[in-house]
Amino acid sequence: MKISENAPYSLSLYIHIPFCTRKCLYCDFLSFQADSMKKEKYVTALLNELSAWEQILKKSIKNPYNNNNTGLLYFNTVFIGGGTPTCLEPSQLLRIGQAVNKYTDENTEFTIEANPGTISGSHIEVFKKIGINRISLGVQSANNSELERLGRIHTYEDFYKSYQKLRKTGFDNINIDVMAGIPGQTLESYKDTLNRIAALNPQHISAYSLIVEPGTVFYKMQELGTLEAADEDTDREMYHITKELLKNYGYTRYEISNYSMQGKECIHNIAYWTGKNYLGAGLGASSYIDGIRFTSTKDFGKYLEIFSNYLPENNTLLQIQENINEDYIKLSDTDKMEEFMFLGLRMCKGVSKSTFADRFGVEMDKVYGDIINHYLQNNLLAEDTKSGRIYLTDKGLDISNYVLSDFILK
Amino acid sequence: MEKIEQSHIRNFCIIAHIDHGKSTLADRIIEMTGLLTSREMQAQVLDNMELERERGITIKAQTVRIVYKARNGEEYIFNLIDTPGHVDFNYEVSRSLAACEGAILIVDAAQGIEAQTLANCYLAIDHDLEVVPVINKIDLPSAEPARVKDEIEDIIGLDASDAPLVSAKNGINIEQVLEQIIEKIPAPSGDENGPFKAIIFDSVYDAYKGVIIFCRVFDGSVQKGQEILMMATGAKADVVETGVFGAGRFIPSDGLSAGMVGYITASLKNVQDTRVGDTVTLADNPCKEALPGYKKVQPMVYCGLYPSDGAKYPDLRDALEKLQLNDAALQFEAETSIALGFGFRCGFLGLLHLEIIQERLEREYSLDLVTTAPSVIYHVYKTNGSMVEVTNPSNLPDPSEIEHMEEPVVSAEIMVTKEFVGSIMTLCQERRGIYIGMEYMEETRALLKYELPLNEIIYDFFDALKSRSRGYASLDYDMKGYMPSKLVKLDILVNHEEIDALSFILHADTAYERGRKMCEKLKKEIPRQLFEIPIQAAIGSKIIARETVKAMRKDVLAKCYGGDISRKRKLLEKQKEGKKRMRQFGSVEIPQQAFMSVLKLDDDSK
Repeated sequence: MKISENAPYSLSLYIHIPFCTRKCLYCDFLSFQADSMKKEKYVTALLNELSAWEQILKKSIKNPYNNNNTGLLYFNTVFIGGGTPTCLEPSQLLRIGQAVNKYTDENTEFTIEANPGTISGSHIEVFKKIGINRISLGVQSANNSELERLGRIHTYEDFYKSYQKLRKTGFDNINIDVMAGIPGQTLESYKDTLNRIAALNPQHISAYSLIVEPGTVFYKMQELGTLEAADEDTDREMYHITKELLKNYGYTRYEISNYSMQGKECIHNIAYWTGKNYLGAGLGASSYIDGIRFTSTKDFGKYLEIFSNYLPENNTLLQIQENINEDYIKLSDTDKMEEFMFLGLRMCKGVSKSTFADRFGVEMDKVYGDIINHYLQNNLLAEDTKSGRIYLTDKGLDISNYVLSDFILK
Repeated sequence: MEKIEQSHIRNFCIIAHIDHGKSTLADRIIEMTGLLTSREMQAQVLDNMELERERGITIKAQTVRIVYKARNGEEYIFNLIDTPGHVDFNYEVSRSLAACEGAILIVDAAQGIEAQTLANCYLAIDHDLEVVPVINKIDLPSAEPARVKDEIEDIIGLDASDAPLVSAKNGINIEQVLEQIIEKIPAPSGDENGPFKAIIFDSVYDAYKGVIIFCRVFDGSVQKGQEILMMATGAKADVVETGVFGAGRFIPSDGLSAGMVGYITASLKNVQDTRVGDTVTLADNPCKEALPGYKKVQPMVYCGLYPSDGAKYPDLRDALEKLQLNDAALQFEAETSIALGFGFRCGFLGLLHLEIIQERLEREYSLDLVTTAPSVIYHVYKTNGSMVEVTNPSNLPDPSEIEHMEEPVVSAEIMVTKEFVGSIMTLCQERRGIYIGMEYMEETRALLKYELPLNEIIYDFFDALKSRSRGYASLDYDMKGYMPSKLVKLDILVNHEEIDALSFILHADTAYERGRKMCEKLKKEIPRQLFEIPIQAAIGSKIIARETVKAMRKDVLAKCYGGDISRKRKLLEKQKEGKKRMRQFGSVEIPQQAFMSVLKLDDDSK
């Protein structure tokens, strides 16, 4: 029996692996270098955290048919991200996968992020063993000097080899990350990257533009005036050709920076944008469960301290509570409406008026009518009257923050 | 009524530069006199307004009466009259001095005499006060008491040979100061039986008691029930209560007699009736003539104050009315701006006064304000022979009707150490100063004298002065009069629409530079919008500077940061907050910050 058929509700799982061989110059994600001892300690702690959650969730999920709850916990999607998950040894990934496998089956979308420079043959074997069926490869560019400028640890050729190996071993759902606005990048070299990547026929392409975030090397360079950033016109042009160019290869844009073949949208990400429950495990991971958002500690030492020991049932709740940092918030109805809009509108198909009304017991127009009309007039929003959906136009997608911020009601 | 022997009264004030230790010395004196337990001592008894403490300056004069048992065994009454310490309040200072027989001059043992000390000291000498020099902060490693003594003797010409060397902070040698007050400062010598005559040196409004007049009695006496007359304003009222000043509280007395300092409450509702410097006498037995020196204080600087939320207009009016109860120098009248809606044109003694009022409105009355560029009073002579006073650039008559314009000019004295003389002279030159002269006070310090247009001082002159002298220069100025000047009105157009709140009057020679800087600054302050926005500076119909805010083309958080929705939310909330602080002009949104930032243009050049 497939457990997905009896699962009482959908739950996604995110697992954070905060390690990298070297930090990229633009990266502000929670990641760092670590030696093998630290990594092993982290894996142990992570497994303990997962079993703590396992005990809590199994107790709280009620089976409507009988009182024996075991086995009803089920993950719709699992996403192992980072950092660089492939920084871990294959054996370590295997242990993590086995812990998760009790609650997954072949219907689970199980993704792992992989750096082309760190995937080995034995990694791929483990992927197969634990049921990983989707790979997300960050290549960023097909131009080696651009890769160097970004501080990436791999060449395009490394990527190409990894990609072919994955395809040969039967992976048929692969995402590739590419970046626009890389310092020194020209429109031509960006087009070249897109063409070469699309020609490989991956099922999914994430194309996003470089954002210089505080706390990164690029940010410091920008302050010093040594970052040779793409000028605005070029950056915009890159952004705009992406959609047209990828369309020729059969990709459809379904979110601000995500493109896929028919039916290959990333279910895990869509869960974030549609207010589904998800559990985040590992350092600094975010969760959303039953209307509550919370984030785990970002302090590596603290995390290890909390989860270094496996605690038997009844003691786990305390452990979990201790791990949650100050960002614990129970969403009000207003918060939920805001999120419904500003997350839902990230997707090209937008938000459904009837879903809104069903979920909140009030018409969307009653809450947001003025704002929606304002942006409909500006051609930043559009309405599909047949499906009753509101969505951002291409122009609206370009300046989505400007539009989405108006859906904050406070 | 028990009369206090005038021979046992000493009325004095303390003169000091900011930070030279006035409040601390006052605290020590109050402590030494033993009328207060140390528990009652607030850290600084005199400065008890929250705002004053933060800024380290005294805004409204306060006064304290203390009892000192001297070495000779006799008890003396000391009235320590506090004086505000800023050039904006020169007139108030002069009235406080008029209520005293003597002044303690505090000079910092490390820093020596500053321009402001000097100005106030001369003011005291002009009022025939006995000045008792005291050298403070002798505990500092950098203290040079001998040098500072010489300085006092050379610059002011006071005998400083027996000046007490004190540390107010550590309570060293305070008794010597107290003894010198008795020895050196003369006792009052008024006519105890003459008609009642007192000077108002401050007045405050109290919700329960009404107006409380702070006064110094010269002749005669006053008691509850008598009718008093304010000679300049003509206001009359029955005395409800008289009393003296405890530290931080009022102590009622049977009456006030010659030589005493105290307060009178009467059935008065408004401090406009009890102006600082006016003479109080009895209605049925008035004194022959008023005390000299009274003048009605006139605002020197004007600006528009607007609530950022238009609905708060009545709240702003209420708040201004309440502040005016206590501040006769504050003036306001309603005005309307196309850009900012309903607000008030307010008059202030100076920029500090303006900032204090603005801060009090924001802090005590929780109002969010937009302030327009401060303006002085321009005299506009029209071709038809009439003259109009203009404080709001929008009211400037059409150029064709203007024969010529005059602007107020001040005599400024700037004290500065030798090494910075050059940069300060450059600054004064840039601000259209006319060099009058320079005196070396001693080898290392000079007193620069300039005539400066007031409108060059009111923007950011203090800041520029401080930054170009590493904080060492000090400034004092006096109104000199009006001088003809080539003035023009500079307008700012955003998306081809004139923003009246950004217009201002300035000298023609500086218009280009300023117009250019304004446009640059506004370009930084106005966020990109859905379309391109030209920003122009214009004199009349002539455009003198232009910048363009490009249309917004990209504002997107491409990566979704895993499930970290909170981060995304915070970003959008911040953006929404920013939008709320915008004002809509036609189709353009301008952040309120932009109105303030264009007032401080010197920032960028440093």
